[in-house]
Amino acid sequence: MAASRQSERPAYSEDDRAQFERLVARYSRHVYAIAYRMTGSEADARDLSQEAFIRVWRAWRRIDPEAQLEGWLYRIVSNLHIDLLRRRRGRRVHSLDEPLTTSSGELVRERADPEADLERAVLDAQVDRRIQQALLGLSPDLRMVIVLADVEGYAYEEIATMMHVPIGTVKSRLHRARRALRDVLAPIRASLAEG
Amino acid sequence: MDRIARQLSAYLDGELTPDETRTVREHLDACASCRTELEALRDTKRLLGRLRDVEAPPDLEAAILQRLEQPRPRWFTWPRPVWPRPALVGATSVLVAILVAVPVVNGYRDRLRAAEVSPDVFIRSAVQSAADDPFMDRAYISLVSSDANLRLIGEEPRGPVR
Repeated sequence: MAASRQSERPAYSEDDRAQFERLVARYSRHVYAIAYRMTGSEADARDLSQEAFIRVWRAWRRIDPEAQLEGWLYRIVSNLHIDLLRRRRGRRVHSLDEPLTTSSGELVRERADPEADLERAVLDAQVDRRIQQALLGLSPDLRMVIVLADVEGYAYEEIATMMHVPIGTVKSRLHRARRALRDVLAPIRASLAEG
Repeated sequence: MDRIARQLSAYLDGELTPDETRTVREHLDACASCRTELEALRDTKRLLGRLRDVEAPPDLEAAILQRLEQPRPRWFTWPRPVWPRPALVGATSVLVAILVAVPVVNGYRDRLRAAEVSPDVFIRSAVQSAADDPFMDRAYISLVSSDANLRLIGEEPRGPVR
């Protein structure tokens, strides 16, 4: 028992610590940004990004220094996010295409009103919030792929490596995600096109 | 048509092979609805690309490094243990052990008692079948048989042992 506890917390050298600090300095903001786009909450993004780095640190001795740590970090964020959703069973995740059903019957999902006054809708905080809301309407798998591809600008192959899925899966998830967002974001797209 | 429509996102991203790209392009020349769809997907992608940069909290790095010093947090680690109360689990296992042990021990004692009486049962039945033999001594048979009967009901045939 005592031995297993010790192996969980091995003694790291100064060098290990310095390398890890460089990793944190280089990627923490980026990891936080992705966690924020996935969760839509500053507090959750903070917890998720901290936990992702702690997991890397715990596994530090077993990590190949040549390994693509960045991709690994994003995969950890994605897994932690799914864990978080599972733990919060009270808050159900709805897909955009799925009708909302409540005890009083089926609700019509509120979509942005195309007639709304969006003339001054440059990409300000309000538009940002609406896009973020639309992202949260996607399933976590679709959300992660579209955040990595369209927000962060990664190529399909990089995303496939990060997420441990075939390129074909990235391709189809991204297409499904864009099609779902296409309708929800139509009013914003229209107002931006006018402006 | 559907196959082409599913490839529009990858076409937009330049992620198709040259052959696939050519096929999609030829289809787009002839299909207005796919051209509209492609534009809608392009606008959606552009919109996401224009999201503002998320600003991380200024103390994020410090908070991560500070957590290295702390023991494993409860926030994200293992799910709850299946048995959260070890004392209760211990008491339950003792109770289960007793409930299993009592019938086992009783059964063993019953088998021991059965073994004590069985020689007399055997003697009685052996003697009674021997009585069929016409040359058998009837007096001896009745003596042995009644001794066995007495022992089976718990009496000492020769009276109390001195």
